[in-house]
Amino acid sequence: MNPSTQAAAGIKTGYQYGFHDEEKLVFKSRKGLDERVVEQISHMKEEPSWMRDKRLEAYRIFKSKPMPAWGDTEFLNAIDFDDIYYYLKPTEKIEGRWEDVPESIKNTFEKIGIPEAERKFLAGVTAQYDSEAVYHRINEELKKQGVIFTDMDTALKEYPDVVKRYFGTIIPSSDNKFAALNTAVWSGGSFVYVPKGAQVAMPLQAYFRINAQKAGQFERTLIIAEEGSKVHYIEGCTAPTYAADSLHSAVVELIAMPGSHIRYTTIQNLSNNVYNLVTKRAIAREDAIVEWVDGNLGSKLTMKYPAVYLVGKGARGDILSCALAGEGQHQDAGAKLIFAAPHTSGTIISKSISKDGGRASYRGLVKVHPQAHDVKVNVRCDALLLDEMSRSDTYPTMEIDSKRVRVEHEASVSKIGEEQLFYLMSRGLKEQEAVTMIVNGFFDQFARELPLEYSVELNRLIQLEMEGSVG
Amino acid sequence: MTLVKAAKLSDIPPGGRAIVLVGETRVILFNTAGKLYAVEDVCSHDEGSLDNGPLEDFDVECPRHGARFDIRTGEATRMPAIAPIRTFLVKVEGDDVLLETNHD
Amino acid sequence: MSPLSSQGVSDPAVANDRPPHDRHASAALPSRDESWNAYLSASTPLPSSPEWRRTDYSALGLDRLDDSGRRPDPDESELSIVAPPEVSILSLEAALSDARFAAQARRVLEADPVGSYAKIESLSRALAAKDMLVFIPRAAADSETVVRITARSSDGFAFPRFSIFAAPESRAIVLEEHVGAPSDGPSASRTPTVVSFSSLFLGAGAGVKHFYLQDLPMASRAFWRQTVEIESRATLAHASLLLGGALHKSDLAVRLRGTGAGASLWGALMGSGTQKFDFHSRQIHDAPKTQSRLLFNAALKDCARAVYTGLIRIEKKAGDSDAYQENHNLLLSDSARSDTTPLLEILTDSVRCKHGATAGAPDPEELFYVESRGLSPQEAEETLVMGFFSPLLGQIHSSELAGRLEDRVAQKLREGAFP
Repeated sequence: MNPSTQAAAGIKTGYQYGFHDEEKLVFKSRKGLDERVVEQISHMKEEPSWMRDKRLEAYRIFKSKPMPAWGDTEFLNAIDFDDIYYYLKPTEKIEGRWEDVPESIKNTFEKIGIPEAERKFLAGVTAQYDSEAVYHRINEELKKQGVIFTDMDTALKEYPDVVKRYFGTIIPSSDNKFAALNTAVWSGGSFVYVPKGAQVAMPLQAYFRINAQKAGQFERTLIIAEEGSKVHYIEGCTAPTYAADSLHSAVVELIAMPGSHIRYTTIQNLSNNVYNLVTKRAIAREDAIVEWVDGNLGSKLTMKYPAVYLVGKGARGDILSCALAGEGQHQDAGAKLIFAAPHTSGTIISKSISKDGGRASYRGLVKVHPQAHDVKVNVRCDALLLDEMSRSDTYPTMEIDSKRVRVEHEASVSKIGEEQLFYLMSRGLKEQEAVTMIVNGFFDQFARELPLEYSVELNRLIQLEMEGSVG
Repeated sequence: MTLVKAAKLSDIPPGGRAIVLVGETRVILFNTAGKLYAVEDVCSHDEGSLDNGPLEDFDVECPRHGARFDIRTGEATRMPAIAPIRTFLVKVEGDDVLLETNHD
Repeated sequence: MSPLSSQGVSDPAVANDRPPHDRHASAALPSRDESWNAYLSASTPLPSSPEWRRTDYSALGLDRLDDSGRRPDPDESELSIVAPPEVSILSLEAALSDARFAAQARRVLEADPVGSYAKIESLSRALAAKDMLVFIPRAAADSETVVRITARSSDGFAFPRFSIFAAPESRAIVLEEHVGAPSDGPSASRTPTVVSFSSLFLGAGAGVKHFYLQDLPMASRAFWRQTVEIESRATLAHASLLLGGALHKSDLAVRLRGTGAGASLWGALMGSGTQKFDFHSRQIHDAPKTQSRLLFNAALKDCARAVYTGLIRIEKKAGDSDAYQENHNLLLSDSARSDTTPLLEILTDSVRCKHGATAGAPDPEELFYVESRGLSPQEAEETLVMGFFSPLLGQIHSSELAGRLEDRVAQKLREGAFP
């Protein structure tokens, strides 16, 4: 029995990271949102006036837009926007070295299991604790390559022109209600700039946490990969368990210049009271490649549809999504591929598992504009239902307005085959172990795309989820 | 090529706009910077009407998600739109505004 | 009670003969005025509803009827129903007061309309000439009862309404067609419009083959809504071939209500010019051990457009069921367009459920293979397109009819863009 399973065995509830520190927070905005809170946020961050104006404009758009009338409206309409804190700042300044980071914060990260910062394969770690970057360190090699990897707040201060040129160009605040909210109150998130031709060998990682009563997480991430560059960014979040609901509404914009390659990996494992409503979108220019690798394991409700807009000839978009919906959870995930240039291609692979009454939905769009010819797209959605209480829905759409294309879509919903189960059990596995093995196999395509320590963590998490759900 | 009477110039004051039906196509006419421009009244992002979305210089913004189009060229100038919309040549004869259309 | 006339009835007026009836039963049927008022006060369906997302309600041109300010006269067009003597054909009104059929007739009356079709359904009730009910009894071993239903539209509106009841263990073939009629007089400026509401009720163990042909004039508009209720062990084989109309909107809802029920559904269309087809199908599994499969193929050239929305819904109690759905769109020109939205709502785990869709030009490899057999590129493409229709044509019981239809499809394929 490996150490993680030993630790897990002693926990009664399913959620391993259910704890929170005392709220040692320097500043905490009051509950609810109005123009004054937005101005306060901008003021505390000492932002240029154009960003403050952008926030205020976004706030007005947020107020004017109605809640979405589609999706899980029951869950959505339960969000009380006035009952949330929109900004928290744990310490006054950003730490330069891991050694200088406050002890309590280091303990939090240790409990989550973040490896020692000196580990070779970590290029640099920006750790987020309640809305603001606490620790920041960039590795020598990145600096030599001219790669910028920092938090959004710092980026706005140190590279305002670059930020101004790209911020909100992929997801304008009027795009949807939650993009507007994020633009108004964003704090933290990552900024990555990769110059022409730079190939970033190691994945860039960041960790986020929600840690205060009713705190909201509104990180804003912007990644720009210049011509011919390559970068892999990994995001993983965890949050403690609370009785009250938390809102996590992030915006991620990726810009892939000609010939560049961006891969964005997420493992989301928020506690089961969090609303996770995210807008993620990439634009791919000539011969660029964008890959979204998206794992959704936690939260009460996740609504997330990573998108790639292919605007340059020869561009490619691949989206791999996996979701696990357990009791009381709704994973409403999906993907969008929009083709507006010729000789482009893309794939969408979605795998979901529902158990204990959980609900997994796939919502997707493949749209081919008349300007796009010689396009090839493949969509594959597989859903596994582990018991008769659970539910799976798929709502994909294909809008094809061009002739020289090959678009294929296939979806299936099934349960674990009796024969498969019987075979594994006849090999000495208990039913729960067999089911866990099958579930791991179902997600294998996804797990293979993750760096090693993540796939290990994923297996551990799946095991935790499966314990107590069979038998 | 055919010229079709679309509207009356007197109905489209400077800074104003009109939405007209040309056959089965909905066209939106703008009177701005001393000239008339016409684009198909359909946002290439969600295929809805551009309606009364604000016009800034030559960029019209779709009221639903913020997509923008240059009314001179039909080009998409802001996400979430990436594909252009049709433009129409406008001719003014007296008080008549004519649009040039062609069969495809 | 005297038997009703049912000798190959082609004129609905003949079925007016009624035995002494119970006034209370007829009172349940809304009057034309009631339905007309319901139609006027019903709100226009919004594009946000899944049924009207791709086709605007106003495109059907039904608002023209409101212009005169009063309820128009009932539809004068002809709905012809031809069947052998053992089949009973009577109006809904008559059936409600006939002890043999009253219970079934009430099912028609009590049918639950889909919310966004409420307005158009009220219009249909208000203006349909008659709401016809057809009762197919269990026949002698091995024979299939054939029922022919034809609606001819001249210029103007037609509102066919009918329901078919296939008795338990019965075997039937239903041929339904909507075709054009020669124009009468100078009313050619009006656009012929057909609004059809029909239902099929299959009793336990019944086997029904239903073939629907829509070959209306190119200027027509058609709305076709059919609900099918299938009891245990009963099976439906349905095929829809759609060729005509400037706008055609269909909604076929099949509900498998009893254990072991099954449905196989085929749809095919050939779109040309600026035609638009909006086809909505629903495979609803409401009982265990049920099966359904659907294949919908659209071949589109010129600026034609096909919209396909297919729902598979498997309820909690429908365990051990299988459902499949496939939609293939062959785009033969740069301006053709297809929109496909397959939907799965699965509420139980012991099912096998799959849907698949493709869109694009004919496969270059397949084309090459056919050309290498000595055909010109155009002939090769024609061959592939006609192959698209063979699964559906193979379902038609009469090879003579299938042959005629194949010729019709080929003719449409070869026609110029704007005849």
